[in-house]
Amino acid sequence: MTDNKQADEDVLRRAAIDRSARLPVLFFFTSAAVWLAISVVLGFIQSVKLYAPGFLDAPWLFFLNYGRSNPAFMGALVYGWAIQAGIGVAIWLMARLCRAEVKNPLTLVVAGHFWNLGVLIGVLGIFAGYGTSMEWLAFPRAVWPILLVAYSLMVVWLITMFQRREPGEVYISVWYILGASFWFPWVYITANVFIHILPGAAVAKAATNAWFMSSMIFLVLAPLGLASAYYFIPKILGRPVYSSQLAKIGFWGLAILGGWTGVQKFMGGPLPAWMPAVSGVAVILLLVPILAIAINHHMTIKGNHSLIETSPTMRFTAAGALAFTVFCILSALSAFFSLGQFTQISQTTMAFQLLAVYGFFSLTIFGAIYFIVPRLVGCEWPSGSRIRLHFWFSTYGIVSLVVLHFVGGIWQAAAYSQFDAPLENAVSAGRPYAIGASIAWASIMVSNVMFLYHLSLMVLRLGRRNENPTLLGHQHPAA
Amino acid sequence: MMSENNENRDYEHKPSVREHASARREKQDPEAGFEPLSLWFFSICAFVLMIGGGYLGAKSAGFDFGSTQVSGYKAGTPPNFTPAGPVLSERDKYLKSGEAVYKTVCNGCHQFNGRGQGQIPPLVDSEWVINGTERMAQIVLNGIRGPITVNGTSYGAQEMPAQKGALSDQRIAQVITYVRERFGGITDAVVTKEMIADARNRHGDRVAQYTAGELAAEDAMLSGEQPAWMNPEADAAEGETSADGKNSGDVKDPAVNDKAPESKETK
Ligand code: HEC
Repeated sequence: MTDNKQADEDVLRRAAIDRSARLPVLFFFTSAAVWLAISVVLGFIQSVKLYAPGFLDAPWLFFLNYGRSNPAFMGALVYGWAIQAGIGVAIWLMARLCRAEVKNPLTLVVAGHFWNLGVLIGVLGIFAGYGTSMEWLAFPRAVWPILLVAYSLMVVWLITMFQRREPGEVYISVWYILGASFWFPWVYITANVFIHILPGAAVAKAATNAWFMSSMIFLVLAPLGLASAYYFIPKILGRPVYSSQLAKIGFWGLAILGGWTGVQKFMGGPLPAWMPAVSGVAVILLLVPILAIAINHHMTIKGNHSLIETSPTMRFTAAGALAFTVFCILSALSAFFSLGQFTQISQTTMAFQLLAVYGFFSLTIFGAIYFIVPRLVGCEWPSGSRIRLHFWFSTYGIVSLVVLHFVGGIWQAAAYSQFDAPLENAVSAGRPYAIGASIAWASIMVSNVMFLYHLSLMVLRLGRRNENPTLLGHQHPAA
Repeated sequence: MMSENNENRDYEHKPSVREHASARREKQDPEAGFEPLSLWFFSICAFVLMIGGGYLGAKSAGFDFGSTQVSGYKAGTPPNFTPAGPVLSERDKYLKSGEAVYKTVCNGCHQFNGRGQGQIPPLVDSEWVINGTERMAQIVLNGIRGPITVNGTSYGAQEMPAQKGALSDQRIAQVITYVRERFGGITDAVVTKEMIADARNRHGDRVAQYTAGELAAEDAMLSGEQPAWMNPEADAAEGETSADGKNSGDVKDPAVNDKAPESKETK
């Protein structure tokens, strides 16, 4: 009897928390999805421009040339979509895990507006020709303080939330969210200072840039994505995470090693040899925490694989987690010169970035969004088959993109190293793969424009009015 | 937001059940379990650590800030490697710079082959090129207009604009040297920037272009030292035959002129 009552209270509590989180979380999700749609369209365009510069080449479309559409697409993808959606998930997770209702949602919404403003100025700035040509930092110089302030506001909010938590064990996801909260400002300030404010030698800038991208992946995107995976895998299975010890190894390993990575990209370059060496050893040692995390997830799921078939959240999350493991293994292998010489400066760079940002992070976050949104809007996803399409188009798209860019990049790099052959050979070596990549991009583009539409239906409360969740298998009631 | 809740209620008439359906059906919030770590995990970790240690040892080059190469690195020569093109002598560099000026400035009128076109006279074998450097410097500095006879043909319908505003002394010296060598076959003396500076001092104030009659005498040479790299020993080192006269006298030897097309090819 009391048990039942306790359970009822729990339900009401959860519902109340969800309601309090509705405004900011939906704000972040919707604007992130809009940016995602913009960025995949740009991603498609830049991928075509790479081998057919004449594509969409009207005079008034001057801003779509590769040199602008490529950084604009990356900026929109990383800042507009990834971080923004990640923050949305983090807010909801934090509220749930601290078992406290969201207070001051307006702080978050204001911060979110600033963030979007920053990204907008950044993308338009790149289009107008004010980009900085630094990877992942291509927004015009004036933008980074805006983004930093907006992010800091959100961090303040997250920490306030943490302090209002109900007493008890602090769950793994919370560690990761707090980690990402502090690491982003650190990484972002450092990179901007050494690239924009106190620029050193050009090689030092390049090294900082490589370090920045890698640290963004390991210290910002990875923690946010893992926080989500650590929450949703056990949540949906209804069983505890396999081992708290493994979770600790995974967390601290990432925390300690994540910030040393990146410079291995320039091994053999004109930098003190120990710099790429230290980064290389860091990505190799990262295999330990990654293995811990992968085992932990795998052992938690073990024996319940059927849920991957039916639950959208579970399926996206599992695919994302797998992509993360693959990403880390490939990174570690590329730290060895025999492979690294081919992955340094070629299309493979794109394969790595997309594997991390889309394959791992975005898929994981999609999973979270499919779980969270019905709880915020009070209706269910209109169509299971649309979710299924989103999943398959996305995974086929990203797998082919990564494979094509990886293999194409290796051919390209091999042609580059042929010092006595014309440079044109390298371009034509990569060309067929670049063409294939456009087809993969088209698939990702379709799936995410569809996702935006699907999410808009939910935000407009046009979902199914039903008690049953929308699942992927065939057993659910009319989609 | 309130109205939306109401709307839900109206729709289903069962607010308490449907409204919290999703919150109700979900499983408990996750927590961490306490399964022990397997020995396998530790063995793999040890293996990764070993590889990492070896990697760092092999690649860090003793954490020396000055070394950009891993220890033991030896630069190899790829199998079919041919070293980059010939090393240019000082004189060739000087002529190359002159060629660059010619291509950007004079080319458009006198043509790359130096044969002119229409009312623009040729430079090849022109008496205005082979003879006195004084008057050639005057032409380039201030330009020229009016009737002029070049190689026995009369010109005069077009004007050549002054170049003194556009080109530095150095550039003018280089282009004159280049034109004299390539179209006049004169290899034994160069025009230096000091000579041009001096000429600019004397003629630079002139406002209008010259006419042919106003120019200095046919044999008037700009005076000044030849640069150190023009002395015979340096030339000998490059395997070039040095001409006899170091003082840029008139060279009208047809044999020298014949060399012009040959030197064209070496450029
Ligand atoms: C705008 C076209 C133009 C340019 C540029 C030009 N010239 Fe001339 N140049 C002429 C014309 C026209 C004449 C003949 C003028 C006359 O009829 O009095 C001429 C005459 C000469 C002459 C004397 C006649 C002859 O053919 O030997 C020399 C020497 C000469 N130019 C050298 C140069 C050099 C060196 C440059 C580059 C620094 C140069 N010119 C650039 C148009 C040009």
